[in-house]
Amino acid sequence: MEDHLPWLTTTAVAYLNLDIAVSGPRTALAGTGEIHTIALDMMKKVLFPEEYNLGPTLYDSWYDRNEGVVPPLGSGSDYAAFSQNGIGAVSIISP
Amino acid sequence: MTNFGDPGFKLHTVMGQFVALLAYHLADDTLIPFDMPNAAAVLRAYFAELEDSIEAAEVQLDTAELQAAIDTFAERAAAIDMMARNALASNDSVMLDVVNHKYKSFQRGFVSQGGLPRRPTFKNLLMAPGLDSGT
Repeated sequence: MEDHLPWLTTTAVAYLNLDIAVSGPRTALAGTGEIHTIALDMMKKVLFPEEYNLGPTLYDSWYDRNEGVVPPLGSGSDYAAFSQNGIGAVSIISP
Repeated sequence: MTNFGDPGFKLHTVMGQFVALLAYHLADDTLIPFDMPNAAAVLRAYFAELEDSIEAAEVQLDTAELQAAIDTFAERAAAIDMMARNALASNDSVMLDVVNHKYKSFQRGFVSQGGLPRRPTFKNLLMAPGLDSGT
């Protein structure tokens, strides 16, 4: 990533990180402040499979675990190179 | 996956849909869909946590400058949000370009080339892994 830093820092809008995006029915999301709203809004648009009884949307399945709080990014995944160089990121992990 | 993690791969479909929607809006919207007032709210939340930590540690630390900086940020965030809404409503392409450019480079503003004290590889002044947690 550092090899492409000049290009990335001038062009990138955001970095979407998926790290074991599915390992079960509960989604975990972390991200920089400016991107929370659009990420949560898009979760509200996706229907969750009925059989898990966590829905109706992906947002509902996420909300009651997290009470609507999106934690900050640390350095636990590939997004670190991006967030440490000032490129906003969202990280999606399934716990 | 097929038997335990995600029978029918339905959760994979859900994640695919979510990521696709998010990527689509970030890439294609006339106005980059960032929420600056929310970024300010997040900073305030971090600051509140910092104050709690300071109180719990029972040390004296003057956080007035930081508080003032966050207040200024919140003001500017509200202002650019208003500017963005106006630009979108009036379809002013010059204004939209200006706002998009600022939104795109938003997070760069928090990078300090010198990095954090004794940790030069961590350059984002807002977020870094814990000192001894590794993440």
